[in-house]
Amino acid sequence: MARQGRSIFALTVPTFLWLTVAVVLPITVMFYFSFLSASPFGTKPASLTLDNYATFFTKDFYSFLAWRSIKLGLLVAALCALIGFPAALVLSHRLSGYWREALLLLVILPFWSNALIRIFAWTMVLREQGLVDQAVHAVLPWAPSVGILYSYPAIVIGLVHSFLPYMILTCYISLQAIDPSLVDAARGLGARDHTILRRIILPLSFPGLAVGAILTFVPVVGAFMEPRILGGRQGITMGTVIEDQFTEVFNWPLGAALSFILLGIVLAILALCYPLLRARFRLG
Amino acid sequence: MSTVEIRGVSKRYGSVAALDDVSLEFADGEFFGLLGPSGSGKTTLLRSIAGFVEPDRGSIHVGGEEIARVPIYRRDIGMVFQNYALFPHMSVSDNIAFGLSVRGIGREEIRARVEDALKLVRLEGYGERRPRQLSGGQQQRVALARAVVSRPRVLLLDEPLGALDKNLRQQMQIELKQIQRLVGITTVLVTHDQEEALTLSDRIAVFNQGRVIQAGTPGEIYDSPRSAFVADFMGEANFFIGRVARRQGDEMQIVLDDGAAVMASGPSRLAENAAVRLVVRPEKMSISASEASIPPHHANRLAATVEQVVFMGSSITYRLNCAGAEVSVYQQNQDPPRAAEGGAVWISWRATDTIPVDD
Repeated sequence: MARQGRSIFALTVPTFLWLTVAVVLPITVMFYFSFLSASPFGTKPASLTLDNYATFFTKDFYSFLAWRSIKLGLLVAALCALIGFPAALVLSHRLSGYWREALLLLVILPFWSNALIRIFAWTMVLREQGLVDQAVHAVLPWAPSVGILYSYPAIVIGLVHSFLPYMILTCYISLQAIDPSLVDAARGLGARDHTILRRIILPLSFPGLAVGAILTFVPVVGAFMEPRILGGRQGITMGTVIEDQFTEVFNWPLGAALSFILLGIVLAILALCYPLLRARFRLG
Repeated sequence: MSTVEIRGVSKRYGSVAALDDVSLEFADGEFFGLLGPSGSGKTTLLRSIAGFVEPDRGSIHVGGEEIARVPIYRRDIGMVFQNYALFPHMSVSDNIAFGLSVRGIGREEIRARVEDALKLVRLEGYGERRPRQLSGGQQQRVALARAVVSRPRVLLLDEPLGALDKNLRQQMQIELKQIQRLVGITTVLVTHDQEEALTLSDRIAVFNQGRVIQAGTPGEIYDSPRSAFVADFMGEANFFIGRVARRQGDEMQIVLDDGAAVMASGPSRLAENAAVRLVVRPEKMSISASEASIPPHHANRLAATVEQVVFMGSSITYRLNCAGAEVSVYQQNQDPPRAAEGGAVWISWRATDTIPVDD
C-alpha cells in the first residue's frame, strides 16, 4: 500500500507542480492586483482597495458590457449547436470510412492555423469589395454592398467559426458512443427518423451538446480578438475592455477586477445549470 | 400472428454471398430456429425480415403480404437484440411503452398493456427502474416484453441468450419457450448454439455459407443429418469412411477402409460400390469389456483401445482409438465404469444408428 501511495505521489506531483506554477500562481497574483489602487509596477504607490470592484457596480457601462458579452456567448453557443450538432450527426451516423475521416480532418484543420490569421482572413471575405461582396455583385451587379465587416454579425460569424470545431467534436464523440442497435431497436418498434432523433439520439447525446455549449460559451464571453478585428466600433465587449486595461490604459487592477467579475458571472451561470447537467449526465 | 414465407432470397456483400437463394416457410405460431456458424447468413436473413437489410433478390411474405417495400416502422415486427438494446435513458416501463407510444396509443391503454407485459415476464414492480439497475436476465426479459407488447406479427430473436451465463441461459430457455407458447407469436430465433436451437425450436434450419443446408424438426436434424457438416455442427459425431459392399432394400453392408464391416439400416440413395461417409452419435454406442457381453441387438461391433476416460458428472465420455480413428462414446453415469484407460474393449451400436451422410 505504501509503495502504491508513493507511485501515485510520484506520478501526480509533476502535474500539480505545473498547474501551481502555470495557473494558480498567476491567478493568485492577479487576484491580489485586483485589490490595488494603482498598477503594481507603476510610479504611484499602491494601497489595498475595493474601488475596482465598486467601479463595475457603479458604472452602468460595465454591467451593460457584461450582459452584452453573455448574450454574445449564448448566441454563439446556440448557433454552434444548431450548425454543429447536425454536422456531427452526419459524420457519426451517415458517413463511414474515407469520407468520415476526410471531413473530420476538415473540421479539425482550423485548429492548426493561427487564430489571428483566421480572423484576418474573415476581414478579406466580409469587407466591402471583399469575396462575398464581389461574388454577389458578379451575379447581381446592381445590388447594394453586402460588406458586413465591422458589425455585430461579423463578430458572430468569426466566433462561430472559431468555436464550431469544439461543438462538432464533443457532439461527435457522444453520438459515436450511442449503440447503433438502439436506433435499430427504435426503428423496429415503429419510430420514424424524427421520433428517433427526439427521443433517442438527442437525449443520449445531450452530454456532448452540454459540454460543447460550455466550451463555446465560456471563451466567447471573454473573447477580444474577434470583436476587435471584425467588430470595429461595434466590437466593444467585456473582453476588449479588459484587454484595453492591460495593454492600452495600463490599469491592471481594474482589468484584473473586471476579469474576476466575469469569471464569477460565468461560474454562477454554470452553477445554475449544474442540477440540470448532473441529472442528464447520470444516465451516461 | 402470421405465417412467414421466404422465397429465393439472396444478398451479396461485395464478392461474399451472405444469403444464396434461401427459401423457408414458418407456420403461424411456430418457433423456428436459424442455426449456423458465424457468417453463415442466419443473421442476415433475420435482419432482412426485420427490414434492416434489403435483399438483392427474392421475396418475403408475412401473413401473405409482401414486405420488401414496407418501411421498417410499419412492418409490425418485434425484435430482441443480442445486447438487448434497451434505451438506457428510459425506465423499464418507458422502454416497454416506446413502441406503443410512437403508434399513438392512449395513455391509459399503454399503462395497462405495460403492466400486462411486466407480468408476462415476471417483472412486476420493476417498472420504475433503469435498465442498468437490472441483472442480465432481467434486462433480457425487459427486451422480450418490449418486443411483444405491441402484439407484433412476427417475433425475431437475435442470439437472445448469448450474453447470459450457462445456468441462467438454461432457465431463460424454458421461460422463453413458455412465454412464446403463451403469446403464440410466430418466432424466429437466430443462434449459433445447437443446444439452444434444439431446446427452443419447433423446427430448425441449419445454415452454412449463405445457404440452408438442412431444415426439419430438432429430432430429424439431430438423428438424420444429411451432410457431414450438419452432423458435426449438431453435437459430437463419430465419422467412418467406407464403400457400400452389399445392398438389400434398406439394409446396407459397408466395408470400412480398414476392412471392418458395418451395417446400416434406413432409406438411402446410395448404390452398391459407392464411397460413403458414416456418422454414429457417441451416445448411441456402447462399450463392452468382451465380445460376449455386447448387447445382442447391436449389429455393429468394432475393437478399440481406451485412450481417455472423462468424468462429466451425469455421464462419462470415453475417447477411444478404433483402427487409427478417434471415436467418442458417452455412457450414462448409472452403471459402474466399464473400461479403464489403456484397456482393450468392444464398441457396438445398432444398424439403424448408422447414418450415411454426404460429404
